[in-house]
Amino acid sequence: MNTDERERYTELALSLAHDVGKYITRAARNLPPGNVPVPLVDMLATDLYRTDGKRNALEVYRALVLASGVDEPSLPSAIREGLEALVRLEPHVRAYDSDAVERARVTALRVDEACREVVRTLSGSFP
Amino acid sequence: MARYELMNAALRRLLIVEDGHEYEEFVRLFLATRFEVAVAHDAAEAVRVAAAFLPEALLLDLRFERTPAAALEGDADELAARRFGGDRARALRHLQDQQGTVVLARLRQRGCHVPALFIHDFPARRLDNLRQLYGAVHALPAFDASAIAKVLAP
Repeated sequence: MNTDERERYTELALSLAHDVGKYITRAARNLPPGNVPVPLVDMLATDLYRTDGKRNALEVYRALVLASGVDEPSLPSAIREGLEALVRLEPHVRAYDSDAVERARVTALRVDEACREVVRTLSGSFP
Repeated sequence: MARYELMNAALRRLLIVEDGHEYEEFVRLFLATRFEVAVAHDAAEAVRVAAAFLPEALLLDLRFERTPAAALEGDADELAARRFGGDRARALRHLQDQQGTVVLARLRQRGCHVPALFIHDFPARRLDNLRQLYGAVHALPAFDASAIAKVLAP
């Protein structure tokens, strides 16, 4: 990877951690065990499916990758696969299906961790 | 001042500065029992609200990508000349990406020295630098309600 490619990859990694990972776990990281109250499921749905106020997290991810010029296969597949799984869960989360809410919570945390891992690998500076 | 006359003494006064509503929504939903909240969406509003609300803590977004260039705090032309070889677009992008720290600088200049928290994974060296410049600055890598309460309402 040359300097320019590394710079673009680093910028993309930071954007994914901030614009995707951080926001899809806003509610997910704080949900209580057991039955999740409706307002918290609504916030989870907003985080996952209107991540930047308009688009879902997968669409935000795709837009960031496209804008960066980075080849997507160079990113861990766990990020895209996790985001695709979240899209498939959308009707069930919106229907307040507690199993789906739990799967979405776990998946969001895994995607966030995968985004952070990319940054950690690049910078060695994350806690 | 009238807007803030009914302050609840049991709650810690928290000023949130962000370009959207995500931080505010989060605090109102997960930390309503710990904080009384006021919100500002740019530096000028933050200074005005801080003067009336007298916050005991600050919660700052870092990136203000939804803020129009004209509302950003900081001199893009000066920054472009000093750091980006005259490239104003890069300077504006930098101002957007770091706007939370610029807002904090403005608040500190105006005498607001209460603890500030960013939800951001700052590299350790960057956080040390912010602490040297602005005193009580904290950072958490994620929206973690109990960790936020521990830092800002111990």
